[in-house]
Amino acid sequence: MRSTTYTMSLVNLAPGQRAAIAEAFETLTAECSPGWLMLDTEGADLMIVGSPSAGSWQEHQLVARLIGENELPGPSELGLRSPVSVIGLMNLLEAARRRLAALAPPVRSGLQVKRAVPLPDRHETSFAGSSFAAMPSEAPARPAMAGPGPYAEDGSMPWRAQLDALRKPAPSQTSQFLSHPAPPFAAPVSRGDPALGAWAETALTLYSIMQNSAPVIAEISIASNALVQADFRYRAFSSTAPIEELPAAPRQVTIRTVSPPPDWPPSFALPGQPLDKLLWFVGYNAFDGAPAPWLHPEDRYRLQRWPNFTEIAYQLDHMRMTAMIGNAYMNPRELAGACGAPFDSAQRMINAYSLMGLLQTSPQVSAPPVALSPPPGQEPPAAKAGLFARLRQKFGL
Amino acid sequence: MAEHIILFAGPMGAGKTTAIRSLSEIEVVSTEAANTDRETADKDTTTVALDYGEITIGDEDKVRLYGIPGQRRFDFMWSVLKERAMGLVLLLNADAAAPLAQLTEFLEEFGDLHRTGGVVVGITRTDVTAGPSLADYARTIEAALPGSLVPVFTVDARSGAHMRTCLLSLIANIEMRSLSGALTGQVA
Ligand SMILES: Nc1nc2c(ncn2[C@@H]2O[C@H](COP(=O)(O)OP(=O)(O)OP(=O)(O)O)[C@@H](O)[C@H]2O)c(=O)[nH]1
Ligand SMILES: [Mg+2]
Repeated sequence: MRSTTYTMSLVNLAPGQRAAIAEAFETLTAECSPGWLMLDTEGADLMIVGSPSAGSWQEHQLVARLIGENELPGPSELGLRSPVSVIGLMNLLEAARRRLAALAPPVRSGLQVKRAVPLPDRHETSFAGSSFAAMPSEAPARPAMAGPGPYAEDGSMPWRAQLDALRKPAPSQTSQFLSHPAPPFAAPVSRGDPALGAWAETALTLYSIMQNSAPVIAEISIASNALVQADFRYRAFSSTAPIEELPAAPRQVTIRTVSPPPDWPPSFALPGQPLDKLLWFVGYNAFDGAPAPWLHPEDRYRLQRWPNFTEIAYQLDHMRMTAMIGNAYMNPRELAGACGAPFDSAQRMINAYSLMGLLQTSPQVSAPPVALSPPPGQEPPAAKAGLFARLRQKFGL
Repeated sequence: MAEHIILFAGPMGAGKTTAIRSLSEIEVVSTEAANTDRETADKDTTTVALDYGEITIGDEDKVRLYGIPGQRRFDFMWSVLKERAMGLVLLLNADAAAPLAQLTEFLEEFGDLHRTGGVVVGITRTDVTAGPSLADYARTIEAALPGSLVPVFTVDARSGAHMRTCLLSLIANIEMRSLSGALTGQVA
């Protein structure tokens, strides 16, 4: 699987430090797509930590330490100097990117984002390197920056100009996305946990975009079957094939994101289709029935808003489970037990709803279970009895 | 035989009569009169008394579907029905002048059905005009009924599948509320 993004995560940092890094990251993302996603996970490619002993890391993970103002980093240590600046973060990400790209493929077995080959060029994700069908083939040049930006560390090169330099597309990488399918990989397609399924990486990227409310355009290519464009500015998407007909387990899914400049037109004719429909599909089919990596398996969830059931491909069990978490905090196991539904279906639904941003997590993690599964072979009362069940039968659903 | 009363309310032209026709197994009894209020809804007729339709399940249950005329909803008749109803399907047409204000108005009149039974909101005619977003409707409901979690769907009242989704989610919500109360020991 080919990817355009690395993941980073913040661990063991004071709230003020987290906020400073997040703010710098946001500024960086607003200026260009740096090819990084910020996730709340211990499995990220790059962990930025408050102290070096903040965790035990996998071989393939990089650790960068927040370094004090007057402190010197170790010879091969990755560091981010405090107080955090945009340029400092940019330099760190660039150094980390180089190291990650140099890692031998078999070592990189990270859970979060899987890659079959080291990315030839990160700038494929940048706006200028984009080849979206609806965009002009000649992307407009970004206006040159007049003077040093507010974050310049020294006067020599404004950080915006450095960003521009970083972002320059590699000519050989452009315009190949739509016209050619991805080249066949000699290496095995997945070097991570294949059980997570081909949609996992797409789900992670979409989750990060949702969490950051990023006004980006994402382009998802599904094997050679279909192309989906999602424009988060309009909460809409467009697909070359009906979304219900996309394979639940395709051979390969690739996602790229770009941050369009202000006033950039929609990437397809609006209104398009509602984004929730895409998020439901991806969230439901990713992770193959395992909890989404951003969820804690024992957390309990409650519904904050109903999904629009006339636009997502739901089953009636989902409707009952949705109604249940509309009324009580439950984890997927409790939910499945209470509603007499398969656990797999409950977990997939929770994955999808959390991707869609419909859930709130119980503050009481250690509360006793709210529902027990009925004895084996016995359905809970509401599954068989009740008007819902009789109407369902009546309607032949 | 158990009787279950479901009310359909909403402004003129929201699609109440059409929705009941999409669900009912019997020919819907409607009392239509010529529409003299073309400004509110540009259609030939409007319902002046209750619409009535039904769904029978075996010889156990009868679901009675009542549509309350959009023009004259403050009638003493519906307060009797309201007390006996298990739930409300509130329909709003997205192409109305001010659907959010109408939503508030109808929740003031029928909101107590949320406490005694259940409410589902269906937004019709979004193919004609997109209107406010579903999040806008949800916020308006939250303001009118704080702490409630009312399903809001876009629907086409002419679609049997859409109206079945409304009806089933209404009933699922009512049943799961009492089941979760029993499981967690909370008051439903
Ligand atoms: N295009 C479109 N038309 C719809 C939709 N839903 C309902 N309609 C039409 O809207 C019109 C109004 O529906 P009615 O069922 O007469 O509305 P009502 O709520 O009974 O109105 P009153 O009886 O006057 O209060 C009918 O012509 C329906 O066919 C929809 O989603 N899209
Ligand atoms: Mg009518």
